[in-house]
Parts: sequence; C-alpha cells; structure tokens
Amino acid sequence: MKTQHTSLPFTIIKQIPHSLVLVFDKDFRYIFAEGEAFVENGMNPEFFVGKTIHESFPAEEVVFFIPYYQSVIRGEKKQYEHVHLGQTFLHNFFPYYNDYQELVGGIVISQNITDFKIVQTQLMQSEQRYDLAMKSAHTGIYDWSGTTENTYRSPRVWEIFEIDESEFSTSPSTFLQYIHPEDFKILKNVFSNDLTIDVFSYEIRIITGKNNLKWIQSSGMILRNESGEVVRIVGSILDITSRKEIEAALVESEEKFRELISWLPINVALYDKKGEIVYSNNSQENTLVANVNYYNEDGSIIPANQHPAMLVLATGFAQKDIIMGRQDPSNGRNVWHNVNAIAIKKNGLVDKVICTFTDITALKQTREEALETSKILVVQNKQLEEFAHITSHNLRAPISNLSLLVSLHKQARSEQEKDVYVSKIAEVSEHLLHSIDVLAHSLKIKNEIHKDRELVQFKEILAQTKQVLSGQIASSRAQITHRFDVAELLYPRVYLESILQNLASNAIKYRDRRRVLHLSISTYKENGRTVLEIDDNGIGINLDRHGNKIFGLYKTFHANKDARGVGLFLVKNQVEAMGGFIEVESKEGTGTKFKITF
Amino acid sequence: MHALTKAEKIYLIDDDEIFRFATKRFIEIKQLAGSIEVFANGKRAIDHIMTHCQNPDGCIPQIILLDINMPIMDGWDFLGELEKIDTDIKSKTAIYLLTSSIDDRDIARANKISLVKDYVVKPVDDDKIYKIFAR
Repeated sequence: MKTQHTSLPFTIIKQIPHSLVLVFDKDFRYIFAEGEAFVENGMNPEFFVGKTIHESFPAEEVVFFIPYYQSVIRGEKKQYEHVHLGQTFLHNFFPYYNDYQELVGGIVISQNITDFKIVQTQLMQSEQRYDLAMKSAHTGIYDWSGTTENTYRSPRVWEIFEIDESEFSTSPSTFLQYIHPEDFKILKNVFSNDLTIDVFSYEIRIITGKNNLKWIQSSGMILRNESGEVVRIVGSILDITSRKEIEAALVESEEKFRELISWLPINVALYDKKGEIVYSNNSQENTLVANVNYYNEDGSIIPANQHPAMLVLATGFAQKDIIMGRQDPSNGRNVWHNVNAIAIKKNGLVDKVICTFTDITALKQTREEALETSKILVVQNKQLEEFAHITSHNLRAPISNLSLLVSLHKQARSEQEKDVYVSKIAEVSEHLLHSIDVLAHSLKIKNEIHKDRELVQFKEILAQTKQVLSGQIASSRAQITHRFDVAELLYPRVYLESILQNLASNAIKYRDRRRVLHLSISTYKENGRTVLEIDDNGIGINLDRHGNKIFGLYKTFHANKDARGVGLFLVKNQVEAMGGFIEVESKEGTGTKFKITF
Repeated sequence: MHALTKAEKIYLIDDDEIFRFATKRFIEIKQLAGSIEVFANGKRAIDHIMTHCQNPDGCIPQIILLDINMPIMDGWDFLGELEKIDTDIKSKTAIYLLTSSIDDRDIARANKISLVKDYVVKPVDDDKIYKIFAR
C-alpha cells in the first residue's frame, strides 16, 4: 500500500489545501485516506485505512453521514455541508467504479471552506447593503470603460434618463445626446485631459428619452492610463430635479421679496452681530455707521456707537423715532431720517438688527416753514395789537378833543369866543388827518412785503442821507463815520433810505448839546444775517422807563419841540415788514445804539 | 341840575395842549373851581407839588385830573413819585385818571392804585365832569 502513495494522484491529493479524500468499499470500510485537512486536525490518515466508518467516527457523526454513503452505493452523487467545531466543511460524495464499470464503493472529498464562507458572507452582506443604498438613494451607477458597449449602467440610470435599455442597445446612440446643450461645456471641463481632475461632481440638465427636462447630479472618479488618457469613469447619478425646483422657487421668492423691499419708500438695512450691514435696499446706507457723520437735530454729531442700530446691538432694546440728519453725498444737501431699529433675537440674544430709515426731509422742511409762518403770524398779531392801540389812543384822543371843543362852541357866548374854538377844531382836525395818513402809510408798508428788492449799496444810501440832512448836519456839526463790512443788501431802496434818514435825523435831533455829535454807522454779518448799527453819543433814552414804547406811534420822550413820535414807528414797520427786527441800547447821558438785523 | 361842590383848586396834568385848553375852559365856564393849574407832564406837576404842597404848610388841590400817557414822566410815574412826597394830597385829594386809552390793562392797573379815585375815559363830556365834581 505504501508504495502506491508515491504516485502522482496521491501527491496531488496531499497538496490540495484544507481538503481530504476518503475511499470506501460497499461495507463502508476505508481503503484510502489522504489530505492536508487530516494533518491540520491532528489526525493520521493511515489510521482510517482498513477501518469501517463506525470504527472511525463517533456514532452521532456517523448518523449524519450514513444516508450519503448509502446513496453513493446506489450510484448517486451527494453534497453535504456541515459545521464542526466552528469550521465549515463541504463534503462531496460520489460512486467509485472499477475498470469494468462495476460500482465497488464510494469516494468522499471533504473541503474546509470556512475562509471561503466568511468571504462569501461578507460579500453577500456588502451586496445587500449596496442594493439597499442604491434603492434608498435612488442613485444610478455607471461604469464606463472606453466605449458605450463596455459601459455598465444600473437600472436606476435608465429610469432617470427614461430610456428603454433594449431599444438603446440596438441603435447606435450615446448618452451625450441627452445632455442639455447649454450644459455640455460643464461635462467638457470635467472630462478634459486635465490630469488634476480625478474626482468630480457636477450638476447638469438633461432632456430625457421622454423629452422631460431634469436636473441630475453626478459624482465619481476618473481613472487614467500612464499617458493621462481617461480609461475608466465610475460614477453615480442622482435625480435632483425636485430639489432644483424648490431652490428656484426659493430664489424667485427671495427675488420678489428683495424687489418689494427695494421699491419701498423707506430704506431698510439688516445688521449682523458685528454691526456690519448684511442687506440693504439702499446703497447709500451701506456705509453709514462707519463712514457717515450723522447728526442730531441740534447739529451735534452722533457717535458711531450711538447709532440706533448699534444701541440695539448693545442693549437689545428697540430704538423708536430717532431723528437723524446726514449729508447726501451726491448733492451735499441735508437729508433727515426718522430711524427705527429693532433686534432679531436668537436663543434670547441679539443676532441681527433691522433698521428702517424714513426720509422726513420734506416733512421737516414743511414743519420748519410752518414754524416760520407762525413766527410771522406772531409778529403780525403784535402789529395788529399795536394798530388797535393806535386807533384806540391816537385817534380817540383828537376825536374826544373835537367833541369837547364842539360842546364848548355850542355854549359860547360871543363870536370871538366861537372863533377861538373853531381855530382849535381846525388844529385838531389837521392833527387827526396827519395821524390817519401815518397809519395808512404804515399799513401800506406792512402790505408791501413783496416790494421790489434791489441790490442796494450802503455807501450810496449814506451819501444820499447826508445830502438830504445836509442842513441839520452842518448846523449841528455832526461827525459821521462809517465802516461797511457788508457793502450791499438786497432790499427795497426807499425803505433803506427811510431807515437811515430817520435814525440819523433822530441822532441829530437828540444830540447832547454839550459835546460834538459822533455818529458811527456800520454793517457786518451776524449768524448769517446782515446787521446795520447806528451808534451815537447823544442824550440817550431811559429804556427802563420807555423801553417798550420807544417804537410806538407819537411816543416822545423828550421835551423837544420837533419830536413827533413818527420816525421810529415807521422804521420798525419797514424793518419788520421785510422780515427783520430792530433793537435799541441806550443810556441816558451816554448815547444810543440802534441795531437792525435784516 | 347836579348838586355841585365847587373846588377851591384843581390840577390838570395832560400833555395834550388842546385837551388842556378845552377842559380848563369848560371848568371855568361852569365855574366848578376857584382856580385851575395846568401841567404838560408829570415831572412839571411833581416839581410844583414839591415846592408848594409839602407838609406842614402846603396848599393842596381838592381834585387832580391826571393823564396816563405823557412824555418825560407819565401818569404812573407821577403817582410813584407822589408816594415819596410828604403831602396831604395823598390823603385828601381826589385823583382821577383821565385817558383816551380804553385798554383793559390800564384800567386794571389803575384800580390797584389806592391813590386813584376813579378812571375816566376821554372824551370828557358834561356828564363825566359833573360826576367828578358831584362827589
């Protein structure tokens, strides 16, 4: 027997990894046993030769094998897999014929397939997972290796492209024909000969076999040969049409929103936590906090950290109806805004700030105009009051005198006496007429607000005044000096003449006869307005006593024969009619200063 | 006819020359006063009072007709100055404010001054004059 073991089949059998071979006769007695598996399991194959199955294996194992041995003796082939001590064995049973084709026994070839089993299980699980992944992700898989024919495409690919696989393969076509023409260049870029690209991901549109427009996303790998040519592309395809539609709807809705905001008559700005603008519907507001000087209504600058948006960031409290001005960089004009700022909070903390800017420039201007109008109204009201006073006083007095004189005239006993009363009545009537003339004149001035203005030179007006008053100036030896820092004024010429003449003539009339009259006339700018100042060293007026009456009609404060009390009344009316005002400073014995602000 | 008290002496203080002339003449015709002194403003009247009316031997008027609006020294200032002088005018003379002003503020102001007996609005006619002298 031992010599037989040196034969070629014996050597081969001995070398088959993890296997063993048993040959038995019809009595299930082993006539041959060999194989690596015996050694691996610590057994000597020679032990089995000459022994029956019952003598070789434990009874509980024999029970399993006996049916297969019996089948083999009946001429059948059987296969049996069983697990023993954690190892999986595959047993093949087949009949053994002699040279005369007589069945003489059976052959068992047993293989330890444990490793193979493990790999197989893993493979199966991985395939299951892969199937599951593909099904759940609706992902199509393709594997292109040079030609259309050599390309694998998973069923999902066909589904996405809505192409019938059988039709496709019978006609000479390519998937490229389904790519949207406008997106072709994307593919070209991806699959170029640029060696740096070895993984890709792109989104393109396709026009499917059923003429539907779809968006797909494809990601994968590119394999190249030594010369850099693409030899294989493995990738996945995902139908992202619905995602794209949602995205488009979102973009559209945001565009609508932005358009709406951009057309709002108010400016809106959204600030992030750092105080930077993340959105604004007005480019002018984009740089506001950092680079624009904002100021309060009183003109004071608002520091950047006091900007309403910054205050909200710092405190979390809404800022309401803050009035802020700034310069419009395009034309340098003042722009006024009503600003509101409110916090958008996230987890209780300020995350963003919404700030609205409502342009109230026009509104503010209207308000200021209304204020100006009301100031004028106050002045006019005062003038009306004055007028009422004048009529009640300056007209009543002469009229009551008239009635008294008439009553005396009636009771007069002689013609001579009557003549006295008549001459007095004539005197009073003349005075009354003059009063009415002055009043009419002052009313005319008040109504001549829109009297023609012209550019009047102060020098000319002074020269003219000196000429008119030449007699008085000469006899009083008055010294008149001037300094015109403002040379000219847009004003009704007659008014300016009247103003200067009245004030100069007053100064001469009420000069202090103990000294030479010095009259200085000057003009200058004060708070943007032109001021005329007439300063004398005359006898002065006690303003504590007469201050409020000095500009009234027929107010005289000196026992001066020429005093008529009309001049200052008219000057005041002329100045106020043109929107200015007149002030007086005086000290008895020192002099008087009239200051007219035009 | 009113029962009239003939005053020994009255002062008329008014800057209006016509008014002074007419009123003086009226009083003379009606023989309402023994004598009438006229002053063109408060200052002149005060000067006169300082010289002639101071206690103990001063001679005082029974009635003063005082205008309010006058240059140099008006009716209010006259009353103010009068307060400072030691004279029986303050206790014995009836002072009437005569004015063409119908300003409520002037009337109110006049009512506050105890020296002023009454406020008479011009024109001064027979009735008003008689009323003054009837009291």
